[in-house]
Amino acid sequence: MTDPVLLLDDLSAPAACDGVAPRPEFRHALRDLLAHEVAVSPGASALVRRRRLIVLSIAACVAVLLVMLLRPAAIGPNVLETVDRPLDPTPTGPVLSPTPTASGPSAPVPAPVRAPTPTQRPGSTRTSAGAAPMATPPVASTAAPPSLSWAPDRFAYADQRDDAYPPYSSTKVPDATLSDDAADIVGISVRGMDRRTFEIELELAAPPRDAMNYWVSAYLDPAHGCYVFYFLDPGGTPEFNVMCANVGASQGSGDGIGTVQVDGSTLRATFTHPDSDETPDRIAADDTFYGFNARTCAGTTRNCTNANTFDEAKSSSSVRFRWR
Amino acid sequence: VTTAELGVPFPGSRVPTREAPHSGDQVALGCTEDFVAFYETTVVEVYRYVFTRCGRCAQVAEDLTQEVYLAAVAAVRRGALPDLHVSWLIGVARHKLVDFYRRDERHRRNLRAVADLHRPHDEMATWRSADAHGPLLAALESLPALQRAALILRHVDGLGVPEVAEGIGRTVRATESILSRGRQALRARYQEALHD
Repeated sequence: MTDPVLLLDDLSAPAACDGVAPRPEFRHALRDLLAHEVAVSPGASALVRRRRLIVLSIAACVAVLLVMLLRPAAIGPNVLETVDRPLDPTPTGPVLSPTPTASGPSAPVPAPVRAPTPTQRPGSTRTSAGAAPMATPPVASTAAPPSLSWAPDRFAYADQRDDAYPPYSSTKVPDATLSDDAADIVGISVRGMDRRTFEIELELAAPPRDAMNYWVSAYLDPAHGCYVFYFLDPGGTPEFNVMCANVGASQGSGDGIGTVQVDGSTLRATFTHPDSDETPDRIAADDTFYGFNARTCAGTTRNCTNANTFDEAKSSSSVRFRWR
Repeated sequence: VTTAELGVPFPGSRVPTREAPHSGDQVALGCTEDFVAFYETTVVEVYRYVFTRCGRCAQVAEDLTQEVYLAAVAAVRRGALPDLHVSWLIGVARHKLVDFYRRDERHRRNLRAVADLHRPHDEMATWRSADAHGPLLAALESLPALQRAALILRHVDGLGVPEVAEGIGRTVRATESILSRGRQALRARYQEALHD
């Protein structure tokens, strides 16, 4: 038997092609088709090239316009948003919140409210180990700016304890009749470095005065009933004092890190709370929220914590946030 | 213009030029008349080439021939082929044939999926035609597409293994294996076809 592989060569042999030719009908039809295709191709290809050029030109123009239009929007606002973003007190990220000023053009006019003192709270047995029992000073603060870190549900939670901690826990930011010194502190920014370390920055209307102390009071979650007082004495050492109503005594105090830095009309200090059983955990606890209220206080730092000096507190500004 | 300059798919291939005395001429496709003249002088050669390799099926050969010339028109349109040579057409025809084998196998697989059909389809009926090459064509028909394409390119067109590998899109080693298995299968199927 012949090997079929060898027979394959016969398929292309001349004998295999004898009489093989395309049908005349097919041959003519294909010729006409090709003649038509070739005839229209030069013009068609030129037209296609022209159309492609037009489309490419338009696309290039659109791309350039888009780049020109989107570039400023992509750079400017995003950068600004990052810098000026409202307080976002995530424990690990920097938190910064601009505070409205009493004289700010966009600050709403709050209704005057006289805040009750802490001693008016039922069940309060608080005594201070170095200071007189404290009362919440009259507050002349303006409404906090809309902040991404404050959701309505948190306000609702705070409102339930509005009677106990009115100055800080209410959506109705309390206010007092502003004195002539009300605009002394025009802004406060609190930046959470971590769960226990804060950088507090006060923006003053004018460079700090030597005779004036700057006092930032903050409250913690009302459930824990703690206050934190931050003392920013220009040229001195930043201090803080933590007091918890439900414990009834000062729960810790300490110095901040470094000194109170003065940069023009800005006061800045960093505080790290001691690792006590009470305050740090309270501060670090989830859902704990802070209310910061700054005011000026004539006299020494300690005097500012004295109930007798509360009336001397002048201006305030508040900012609030909570840990997440 | 050489085949290499034209990007002919199978360099070094054995280009059939029988019975096409003018097919070796280069054709400058400056106008429709030139192309039509080129077509007239080469169509028989192209047709015979595909006819003898597609199972001697006139319908398939006509389709493939048409595809070859339309590809030439498209190349001329793109400006990629200012001059045309019959070897370029044969190279295109080889590719079309390989594509046809693959399509045919897919088609047969689909038919088998819906019914137990032994006959692949009508187009391939002439593979079993009762001419002198009937058993050989029938044996070729029963081979997988790749084996069939490799055997035809290797033993009918006389291409080298590397060119066959390029044509079927496989490595040289894989092509050698395909050729080996194809030869064995062809012999077995040829025996069966002789006894049928």
